[in-house]
Amino acid sequence: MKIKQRTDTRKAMALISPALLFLFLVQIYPIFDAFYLSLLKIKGRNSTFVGLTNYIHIFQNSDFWESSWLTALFTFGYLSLTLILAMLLALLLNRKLKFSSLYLILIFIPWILSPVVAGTMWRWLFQPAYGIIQTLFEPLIHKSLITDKAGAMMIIILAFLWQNLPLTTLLFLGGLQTISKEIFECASLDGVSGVQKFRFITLPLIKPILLINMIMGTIRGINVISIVMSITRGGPGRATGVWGLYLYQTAWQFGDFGSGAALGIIMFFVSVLLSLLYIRSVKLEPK
Amino acid sequence: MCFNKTALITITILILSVQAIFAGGSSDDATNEITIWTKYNSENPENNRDKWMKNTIDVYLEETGNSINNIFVPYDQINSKLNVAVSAGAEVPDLSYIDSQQQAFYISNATLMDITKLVKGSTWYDEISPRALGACTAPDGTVLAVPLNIGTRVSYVWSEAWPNGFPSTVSGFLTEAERLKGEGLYAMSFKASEKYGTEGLYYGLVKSFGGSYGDAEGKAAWANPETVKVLEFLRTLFAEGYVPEIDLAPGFDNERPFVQGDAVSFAGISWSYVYMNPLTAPDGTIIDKGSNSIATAVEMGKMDVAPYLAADGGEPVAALTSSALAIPEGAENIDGAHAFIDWLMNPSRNAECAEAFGGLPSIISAQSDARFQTPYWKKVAEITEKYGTAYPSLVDYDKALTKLAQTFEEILSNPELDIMESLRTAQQEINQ
Repeated sequence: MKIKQRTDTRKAMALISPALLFLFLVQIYPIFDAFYLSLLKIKGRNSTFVGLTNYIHIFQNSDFWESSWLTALFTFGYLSLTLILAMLLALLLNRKLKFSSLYLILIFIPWILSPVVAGTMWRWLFQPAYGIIQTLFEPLIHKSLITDKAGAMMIIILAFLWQNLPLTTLLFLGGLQTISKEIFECASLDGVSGVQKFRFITLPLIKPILLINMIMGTIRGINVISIVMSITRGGPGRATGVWGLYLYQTAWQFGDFGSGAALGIIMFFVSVLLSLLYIRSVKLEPK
Repeated sequence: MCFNKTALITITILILSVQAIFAGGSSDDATNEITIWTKYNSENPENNRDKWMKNTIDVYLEETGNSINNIFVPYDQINSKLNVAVSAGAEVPDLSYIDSQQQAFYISNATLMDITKLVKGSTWYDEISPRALGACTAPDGTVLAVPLNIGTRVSYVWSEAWPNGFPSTVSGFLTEAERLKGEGLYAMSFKASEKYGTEGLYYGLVKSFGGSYGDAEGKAAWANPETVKVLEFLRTLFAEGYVPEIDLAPGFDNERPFVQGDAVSFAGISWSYVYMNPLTAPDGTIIDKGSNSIATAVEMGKMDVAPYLAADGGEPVAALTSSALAIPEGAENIDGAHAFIDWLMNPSRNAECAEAFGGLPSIISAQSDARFQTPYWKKVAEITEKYGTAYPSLVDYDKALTKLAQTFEEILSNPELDIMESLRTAQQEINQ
């Protein structure tokens, strides 16, 4: 019996080893390589081992801390709005509405657009003097939003929210459709209100989906770059200079690959840490 | 059946072998091919530059039998991508477009080959403009690139809005700007955001006021009273609404107010005309001649070309840049690259290239070509000759100018910010 089990395990290992090898090559190895790169100072074709100097320089740089704050603000802003709106939309679509499939298709359009296309569109909407939304709001706000610090941050949050809302909604909708209608019917018979149903039935049952959306949303927020590049390029000043952009500039624009890799590693660990925190805080065991 | 199978296998092997032989053959042919990185799209040409690139590739092949593999790289990535390719030991082109003002960045990263011997030994060396060559020469005299043209910073002006001519000084400009504001016009539009903003009007003004971005060692040195004066002037422009807010937005939409006749001057560069069309004059006249719109407007007397604004009592500054070709470290077909440069530096080809790029030719004799005898080019040549100045030579060019642009934007968008303090902080961070 034991021999058979061992043979099966070997077979299984042999079968999954190509996939594991591929995973190692494209996922694990680059992380270690990036870490090694973060310990180097690269100049032209020469590199020197500098230990943790790149990390020290990053932590001593005020731009990094400003960028960290902006990334946190951006991620929190867009994620909280996305989760709330996606949940509301999913609840609405979960009802038996006419043309609900059509609504789903329409809602999904922003998700399939390239971030650069979406970003350019949003930039034009808010262009001072010529942008449609800017022109509409001009009499009320008397300033250009895209050249204003808070306004620029608001624009990139809205644009990213708009792009990420479809997938988040779809995941919530999938979760909602797995909940048995009988539970809600029983609750109705017991006189439970709509809000109570949401709080005590819907929310606990879709916790795994909420967790997935939170983790994916946070990772997307931390790594955002395309939409920021195509709308504000980090401006005005450094008002929208999130981590992704800071990394891009450091490594690619300024040619400091060591520091760029160090930033990448920091972003990676922050993403992992936050994901672990979410998993811990959202207990998945059914009561 | 068995014979058929064997025959099938034999035929397959033969076909594959023939293909391999031909593939080998084409690889041998590849020794005559050079790979070049440019910011010009020869595959899908959209403007004069793209069309020139496509035509050059065709003519070069026709005349020499050598081919060019042009890789299109976006304008804001070409310098950094070249550096990345060299640093990473990746495949590099045999020749690459570079912006001459980036040379300090290339020097510090050892990205480019020393081509001093190649340039000095060439037949066209005696004919090259010292200004253009100077823009491609390192402080130690090493030539790093071959300049194709000279791009000059100039102001484009809708003539009728300035009955007394375009002002030469900042105080004269402010007086006129107030009058134009009353007429519902912006006095000027210019790029006020990102790194490119600091290369344009900002730099011209700082130099004219007697200031500088960097010191002799290439370190940041912009925290000076002259830069403060420039920023005070710029704050007035935005606060009084003499310039549109779109100037502070990312991208190049700052050209639109001028192109549409809402702004009556534009601080640009000699090649801005390539992109500014169709034009609508403030009186509503539409000039739609493709990339010749500006030249047509100048000939019609609707538009004029003037130097940048200067400090009161100071001289205007026209920063000069060159679109250049360089051979990166690790390039394989150096002879091929050299041959192409030699072919391109023929006076008539240089004139053709310069016209397409929107600069004056780097070969002096080519400057007398008929194409550069139009009112527009004569004015550009005059400004170049009188006020031409080199760009700042900063070691961390992109990093320093990006930081400076961010600081300028912050100072302009926040009137409460202490100008000198902000400049000093940014300077210290770059020099760390």
